Amino acid sequence: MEMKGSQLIPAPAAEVWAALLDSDVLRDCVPGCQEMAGDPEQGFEATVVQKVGPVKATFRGAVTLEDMVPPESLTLRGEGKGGAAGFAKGGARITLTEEEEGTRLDYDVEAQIGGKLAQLGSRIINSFAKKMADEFFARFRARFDTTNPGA
Amino acid sequence: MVEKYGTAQSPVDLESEALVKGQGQYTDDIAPAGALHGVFVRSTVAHGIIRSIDTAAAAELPGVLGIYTARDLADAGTNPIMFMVPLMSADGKTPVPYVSTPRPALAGDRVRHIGEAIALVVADSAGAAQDAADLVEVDIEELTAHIGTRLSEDPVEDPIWDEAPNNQAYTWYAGDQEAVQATIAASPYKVTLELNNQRLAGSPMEPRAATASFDPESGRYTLYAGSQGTMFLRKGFADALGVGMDKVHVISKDVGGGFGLKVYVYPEYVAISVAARLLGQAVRWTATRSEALQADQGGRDSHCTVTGGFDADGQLNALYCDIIGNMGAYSIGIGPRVPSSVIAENIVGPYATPLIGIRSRGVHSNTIPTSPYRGAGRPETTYMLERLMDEAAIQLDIDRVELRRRNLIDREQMPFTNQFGHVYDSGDFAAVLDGAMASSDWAGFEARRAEAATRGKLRGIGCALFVETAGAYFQEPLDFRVTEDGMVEVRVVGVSTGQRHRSTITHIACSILGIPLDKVRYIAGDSDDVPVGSPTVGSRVGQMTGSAMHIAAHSAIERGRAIVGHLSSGQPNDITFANGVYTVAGTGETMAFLDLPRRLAEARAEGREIEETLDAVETFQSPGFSFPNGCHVAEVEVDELTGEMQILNYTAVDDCGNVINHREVEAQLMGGIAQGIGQGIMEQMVYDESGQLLSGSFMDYAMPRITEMPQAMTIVDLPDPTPSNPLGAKGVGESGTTASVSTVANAVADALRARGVTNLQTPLTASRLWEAMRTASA
Repeated sequence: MEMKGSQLIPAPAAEVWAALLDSDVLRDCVPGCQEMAGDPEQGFEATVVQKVGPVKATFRGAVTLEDMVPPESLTLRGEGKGGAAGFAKGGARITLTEEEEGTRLDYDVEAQIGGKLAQLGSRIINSFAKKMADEFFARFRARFDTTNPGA
Repeated sequence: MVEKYGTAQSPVDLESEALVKGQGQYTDDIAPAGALHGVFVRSTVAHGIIRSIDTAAAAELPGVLGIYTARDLADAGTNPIMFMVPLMSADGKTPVPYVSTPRPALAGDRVRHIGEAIALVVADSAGAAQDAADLVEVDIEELTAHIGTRLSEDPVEDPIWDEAPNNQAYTWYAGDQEAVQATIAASPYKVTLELNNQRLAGSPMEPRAATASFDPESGRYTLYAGSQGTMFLRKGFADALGVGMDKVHVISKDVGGGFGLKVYVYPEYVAISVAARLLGQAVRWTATRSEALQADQGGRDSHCTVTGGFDADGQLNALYCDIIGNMGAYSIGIGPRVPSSVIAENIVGPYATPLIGIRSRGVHSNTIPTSPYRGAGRPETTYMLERLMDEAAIQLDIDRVELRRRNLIDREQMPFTNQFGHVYDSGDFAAVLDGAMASSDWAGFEARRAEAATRGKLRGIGCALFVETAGAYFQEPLDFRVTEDGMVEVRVVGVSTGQRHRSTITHIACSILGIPLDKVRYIAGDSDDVPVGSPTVGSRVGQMTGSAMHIAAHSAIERGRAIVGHLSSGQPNDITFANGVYTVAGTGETMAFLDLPRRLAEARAEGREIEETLDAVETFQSPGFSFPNGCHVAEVEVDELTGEMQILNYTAVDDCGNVINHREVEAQLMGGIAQGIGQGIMEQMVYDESGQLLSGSFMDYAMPRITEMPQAMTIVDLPDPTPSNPLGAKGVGESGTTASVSTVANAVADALRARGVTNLQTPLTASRLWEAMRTASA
């Protein structure tokens, strides 16, 4: 599965960078996230409950951060195991570019899906991944949206 | 009474009504009181080393009674499942070596394909077992997965079997390789085609299911499981359990489709049987459709390069087939025989080709093992011959029907011993070709093509001739008895998986014995109760069991004549038999056939000593294969803009020998044609590079539906009876599939030829056709 996208975050690059490495921020923004712990040096561990097409599962995953060039770019590598539901593993390359209205975040994801997810969910993986990314960034962007006091 | 078979046109159908009303008894309907439920934990990676299996969380769930892994099965004395039928040389005399692939019932240290069973969870409900199975954590260290039907010349990383550094399963040759190559090289025209037979899923409507129990007193296992006949299953099952054949009792009741995949023992049957023994209670398991796609034996999956050397006048001088057969992770059933010896048995086809050579190589991959699927090598063989004929016709600029005609074996040459030693005892191939041309109005096709073009449709027509082997195993026993309550009891091995065997065999019995259809008890599928014989494979039951029935009924009439002689004042020569009744000449005394056992018992009770009985086990012995043959024609239209294809007309002219009942022949042909169309235009198992199964449900594995079937179908019987059995029947179970893959492919190729499309590979989906047209016109 491959996915590319670009988001404009209304904040300076340094703030976006810090938020991306904050386990509390990630817990709030990752859809279905139950637990998130860790730090940029040791990596993060997370528990996420999600339903992909007909497959519902609790995924336990570990993510490590590589090639960190603050506040410009980093690579995430990780694997999420959903037990009988299968697994997903892969990486995402993230680059931050400051622009007039904030920071452009480009992401390039490459993931491999296995088990029941691949068998039953293959036809919906791409749309599911896009939906997850959209939800994540909607929440992530909202944190910086000063016109929204609830964030 | 029924009409004499061979003339009946109305169906004799004793089975369908109960099945469609839900009154059948399929394996999942068999639920002994207190039976427990088993659910399997399966591998989510294609190739890897099992580092740990954590069952602790699962074991704590309420209702869970046992969780079993490879270690438990080993402790219980089980053995791996071994390949049963040796791979033999083309003459059948010398064993050909192949890689030994012991297949565990539960994977212990290594997994070799997605869906391979790793653990069995048994609970008091299916739901509890499933919930617990979801909690079993298996840690697998991944190895390089090997996917695809290709062979590396060099050793590969992480070979599937240490014995096979490049994953090669076997190498097999037939024919004089050098003479064939030299003749092709010297021929003025050399035509080569690469043909891929994609992986298929057998997909019977009834998924596999099993119920196992163990009786400690007798030390016997009882297994209920749908099969095509319990004999091979029983042998493999006993071997895997590490017990003698006398310690297993295998029963198949109603079976909803087999197609080759319900012949041999499967890992699940062994695992639930051990669990049943350890728990002291019956254990049931029924596959989900998702499990069926992951764990049922796969079909087809071979890559064929076929080369023909032709004269300028179209004579095929020599033919060479180079085949790579994908065995999957393990060699099972008759897997390695399908792309090798079965090809040799069928490759001569209807043509008088002087020289034929075959090289077949097997490759292991991290996929489900393959073994026969309806046709099992016959559709692949026909595909090579008939695609080659069409391509040669283009290159030689000879009409494709005329080219075939010039190469046909003549009826006058029968009996014809072919290059691989098989004897065609009958078969008029020119007649089936002529019949198909006439029935399909082949001559009038160009006008229909021109009309279609005005609607933006590319219309094409294609034909395929075939000759295939049928019979599979040449001995067929049948246990014939008549009971004191006046019923004929027939015990046979082959289990009907939807072919209405009971109707056909009962029809034959009643026609000969002159008794009503409801006076026959047909007994099949219980290994304790039927003679040792062969399962329902290779289009064999009509001709083989039917012939055994014919012999048994006639011999019983003769024994009955002697019995009537004892019971009456008449001499056997004076006793006539008609319509189920013996008549003693002179006295006019009559006795019904079905009354004889009762009368015998009475006579014996009165102290008379009469040794004769109506009962006997009769065995029919066939001299070899029979050779069903035919010619099919398909007419298709392809939408120029979308690639969407519709099969308009399909004509099948078949010589399956004498027809016992046309409606049954028609049903077999239609079903077979539908399965071939599935391969031709839509079905395909898809694994990604890492061995993940992407076609894991019927959302992604495209099963043919009524909308894909031909708009009109014409089925014509053109029998040229075989003298090799008393019925003159040749078999028809596989003919439809054998012919239809090639027939449809040739029609589509004809439709797209005008657009410059030359290379087409099945499945011929709309997207592939669109892509092919776009690439060709670019």
